[in-house]
Amino acid sequence: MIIKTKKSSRSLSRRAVLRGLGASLTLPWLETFNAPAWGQSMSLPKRFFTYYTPNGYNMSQFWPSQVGAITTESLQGTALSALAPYAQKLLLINGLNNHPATSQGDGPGDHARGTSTSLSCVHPLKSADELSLGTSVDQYLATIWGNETSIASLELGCEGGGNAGSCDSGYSCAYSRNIAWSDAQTPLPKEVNPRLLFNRLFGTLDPNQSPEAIAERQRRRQSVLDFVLADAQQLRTQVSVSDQHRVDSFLTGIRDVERRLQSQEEAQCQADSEMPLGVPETREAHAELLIDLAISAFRCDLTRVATFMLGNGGSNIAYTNLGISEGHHALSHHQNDPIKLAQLATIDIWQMNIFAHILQGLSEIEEGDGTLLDQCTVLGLSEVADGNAHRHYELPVVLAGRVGDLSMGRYLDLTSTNTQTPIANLYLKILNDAGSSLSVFGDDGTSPLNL
Amino acid sequence: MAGEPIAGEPMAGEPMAGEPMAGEPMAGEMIDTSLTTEEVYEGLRPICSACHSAGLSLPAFASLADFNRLIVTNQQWIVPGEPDQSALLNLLLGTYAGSIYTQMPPSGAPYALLINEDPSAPSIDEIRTWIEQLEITGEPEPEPITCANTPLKGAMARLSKEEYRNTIRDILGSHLDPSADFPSENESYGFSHISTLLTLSPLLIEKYDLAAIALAEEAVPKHTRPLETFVLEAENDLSSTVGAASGEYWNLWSNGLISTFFNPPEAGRYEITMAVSGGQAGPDPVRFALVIDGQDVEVFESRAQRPDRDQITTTVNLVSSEHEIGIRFLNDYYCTQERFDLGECAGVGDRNLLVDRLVITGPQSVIIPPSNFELRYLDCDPEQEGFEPCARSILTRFGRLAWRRPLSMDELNRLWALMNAEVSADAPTLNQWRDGLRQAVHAILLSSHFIFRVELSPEGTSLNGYERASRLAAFIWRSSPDEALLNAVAQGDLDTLSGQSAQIERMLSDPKAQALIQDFGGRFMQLHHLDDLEPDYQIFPQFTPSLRASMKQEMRLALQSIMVEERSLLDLVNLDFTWINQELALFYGLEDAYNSASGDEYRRISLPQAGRKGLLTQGAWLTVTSHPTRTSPVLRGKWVLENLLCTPPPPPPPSVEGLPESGVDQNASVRERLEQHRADPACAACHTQMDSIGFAFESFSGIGEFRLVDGNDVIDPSGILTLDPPLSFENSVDLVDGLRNEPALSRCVTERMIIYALGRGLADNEHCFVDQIMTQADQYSLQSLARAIAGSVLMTQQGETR
Repeated sequence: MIIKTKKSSRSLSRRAVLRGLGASLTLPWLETFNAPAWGQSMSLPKRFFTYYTPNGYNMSQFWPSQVGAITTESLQGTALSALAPYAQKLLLINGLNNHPATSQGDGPGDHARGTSTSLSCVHPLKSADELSLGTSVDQYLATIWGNETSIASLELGCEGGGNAGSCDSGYSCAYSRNIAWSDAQTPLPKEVNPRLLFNRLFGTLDPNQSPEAIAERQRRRQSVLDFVLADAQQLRTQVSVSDQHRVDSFLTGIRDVERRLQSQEEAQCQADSEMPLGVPETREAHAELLIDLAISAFRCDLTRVATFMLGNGGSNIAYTNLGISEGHHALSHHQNDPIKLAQLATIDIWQMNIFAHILQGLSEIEEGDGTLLDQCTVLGLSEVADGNAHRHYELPVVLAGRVGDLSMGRYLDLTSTNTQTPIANLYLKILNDAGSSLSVFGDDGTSPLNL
Repeated sequence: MAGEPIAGEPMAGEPMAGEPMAGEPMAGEMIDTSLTTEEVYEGLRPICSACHSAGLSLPAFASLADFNRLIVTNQQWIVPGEPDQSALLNLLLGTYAGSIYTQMPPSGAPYALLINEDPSAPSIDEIRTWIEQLEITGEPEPEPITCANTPLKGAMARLSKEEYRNTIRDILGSHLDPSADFPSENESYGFSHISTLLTLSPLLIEKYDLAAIALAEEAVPKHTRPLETFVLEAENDLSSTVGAASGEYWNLWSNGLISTFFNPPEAGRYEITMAVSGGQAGPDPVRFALVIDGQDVEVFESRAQRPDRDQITTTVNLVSSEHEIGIRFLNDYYCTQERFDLGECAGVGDRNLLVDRLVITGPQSVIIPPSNFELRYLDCDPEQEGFEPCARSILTRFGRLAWRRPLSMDELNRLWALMNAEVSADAPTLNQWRDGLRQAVHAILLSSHFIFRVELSPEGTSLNGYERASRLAAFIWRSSPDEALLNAVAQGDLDTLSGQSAQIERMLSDPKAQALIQDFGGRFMQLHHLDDLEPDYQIFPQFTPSLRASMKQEMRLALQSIMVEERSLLDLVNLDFTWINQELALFYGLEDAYNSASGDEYRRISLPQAGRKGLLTQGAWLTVTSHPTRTSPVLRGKWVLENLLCTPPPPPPPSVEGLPESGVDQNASVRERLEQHRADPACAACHTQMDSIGFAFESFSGIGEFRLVDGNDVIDPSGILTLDPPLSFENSVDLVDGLRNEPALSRCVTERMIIYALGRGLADNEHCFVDQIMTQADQYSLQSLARAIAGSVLMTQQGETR
């Protein structure tokens, strides 16, 4: 059953209507402004969404009280209680490890290491000014799916730079600020401003322009891109091998602009919300606005891959909105102080409320016989498990939606058995589900997770 | 005796370099149980590298070569053949009697305890044997750190956010700042332009494209807009004090004005069509004027006689504000039979002007004041001088500034081709030419030659003049070269020492050189982090946005003074004045010195006063080195060691990070609590130095307020730093005076500024370049350091890949 039908934004642009009615209306107009129609013959596209939170969790109140089927009761009193409505769509695995994030003789810097390694599973080079990591799982997926959408992937977060202090112990800030890496040297910075994200996704097309004017504009931009491509290709032949990599990144970016330009002709899907004015005051509103826009982008099939970082690795933001004035990172070194642990639990619940918001947004969009959530692998994680000890084992990993052919609604505890497993194997599972034939991933992924 | 060969246990591993080659055994040494240097190094590394790895003080365990260096230094770390004379062994045993290395072993914890945790570590006896054996076997001469002749090659840098913003300001005179929408840069060494970290993501390229489009539209604004037509019916839309409506006309029956107010959508040329008719009489046709804002701008005649009608069209320039537009009847004629008979007029009749309507269409072309780009580069008239020559002249000049070098003929040809594609071959228009120019500006600003600071000179050779000019402009202005600098390059001035010096002096005295002190100094002091911090408003209600801004300004003014007065940069540490406004005077308790009666502007106050002296006693630094709720002696101490003395303490092991609050006396002061925690030997080694610095600044709260007590505890800011010789101090003023005279300070600041200039860290073997620059830096003023660095081969040579 397909609820949503294809409509041309030019025949009834949402903005044109808004202009007619006065722009102050808020509109739940999903049924009018619609997503692409997935034909019966086409299989629905798969998506991947990562929700990263910094500083780990209070692990004593994280996992369900019982292994096996996840229930409202088993989630009660844990950080995950807000996820109860989606219990059947969750997969919780206690015992996923990210060994490449451990120090391995590199000394401190677990926040930088854990963050950069979280989706790449490659032990990073410890350096203030050299970057060496690996391609993250989301970027493998972006390569597989990216040619079918106008944007290969979205990288989003609430903190851009300025982590109020220095970055982690001898590591460049790039490591603690980015989970998405397109290759060993290229972190993908985040869009932080919802207004800019909105414009990037939905704001490029002026519905009042005639098709001729749009075509003319595209021709002009294309001729500039042709000039710039030729220019850079020539430059590439003149620079050293290591600098060629930089020119390649430039060329990739220009080709992406080119691809977007060509796909704008078909852009007709509209956002669920109006253009945001800027960055909302509260972290919660900020996060949810970015997430909602990403979900709109999924619905419109502008992209199929998104990573979202609630904060940078080791963020020391003070959640005064929760009545907690100590910085989050400082608090995460709780030294088993019950007051600090309780405050962490409060933050944890709040962070998982936002995760629930993601699941809610995805499950409100019908696709095929189910919802978008059924087509999406949603991955929640942090750079460490317990923040006090910077553990990279038994990570707080929350999966929702689909994970290949694994059956959902289960909580598995691998810690009591000897079957703890690299999180890289989970990524292999996700990659294989996307059609990749990769058999190894990162430093320690050797076989797709099978549970 | 240890080290005696034991039969049957052949030595594992390969022979050390410098040892006898296989087949040339030395007598009595074919079999040996003593460990090789490499084995000792590998065995100790897991324990020692936490505090002695790369980038930390005494990085002896960064590599085997570093470890080997312990043997050749004259500090008797390891004296071959003399284990008891070797400081290393004594430190491990806890029997070291010297005064310099007081931090080892960590709080007296004997080495034996440490190796219990790691059974693979060598025993004390094995280490002793190894040192004894060193003389007998003769260790290979460790390679001393040599001086590099040529610098290391850095990565090709793209413009940082800051450089992009400054460059478009300087070469376009743009009012826009598209870089505000770019993603944040990743910092290292506190700086945001480290070339290896200036990576390129698709998101950034997309923003470059949007930025270039916006900048090109600003530079070459469109002069065409959609036409609009406004129909003003005389009898309905216009008003007059004369005459009356008459059918579809307004009948002006005597001289007078009919007009209305019109607000054009945009400034520009508008076509006005006047539909009029007349009641013709007398010898002349109806005569009338088009009136704009009270002025008769043009006079017309019409011979039309009702019901016929004339449509008279003219064009006018209108600015975008409300205008009174109308028609004035000029030659009323009224001749009655009676007056005709008296000979008073030429023929019987009544001449009236009948106005039907005004039709205004426009804007035909928009009138926009010339953009800064046009004022600077559009110095030819394309319609007079030809489209192509004029375009080439603009592209040559602007392109050279944007790409920081002259464009090749091929590049110019391609740009002109891009432009010319917009111009119709049959009916070329100026607007098409402008469309083309906009395209070319877009392309120039999106090109890799603008985005990257390209250096194509071969490795190990002198950079060419343009490449050096680009480096200078980035270093001194955080921007791109101006025309004067590029002209100097073209004339070969930059190839002579005097010519280069002249340019450097000119650049340093340009207002843009403020970037040097504000970006270098501001980032060094972490000033930009002040914006990211949110001190707890319940604990620090005084910390208002206004106080934050005042603190920033205080530091900026201090930095500026140092540059203006060409004082030593090192003076910042114990600067004997500050700039404060009334708000800061109250906050710092300097009301008397400030004297509010004479206004609340920033005034210079001499220090020390009220416990303050130097940048480390300014609110800005004291706040950025604190937690949201409290001070952090550790963060403050660590900052000083890392940034002023370049001896960063090793980071804490993960499980002890942060100030423990359980297990220690909750009523104790921060100092007491830290001292309790230092009772743990694992913490003490590194914390001794950090904490004593931090305690000196405990006289200032988490937002820099002076205090004598913390809670109920009287603050004791005195302490001693185990430098050589030891530095003891009573308070923070004492401490900063002492730090000012530390020899490590000048080297540390010089190294930082070199990193700032090059946009990369320094390799070990580049230390001689630093030495050389230090000898040339006169008192370490910003200017003298900048001159020395700018003239160094580090800046003038293309590095070598190593």
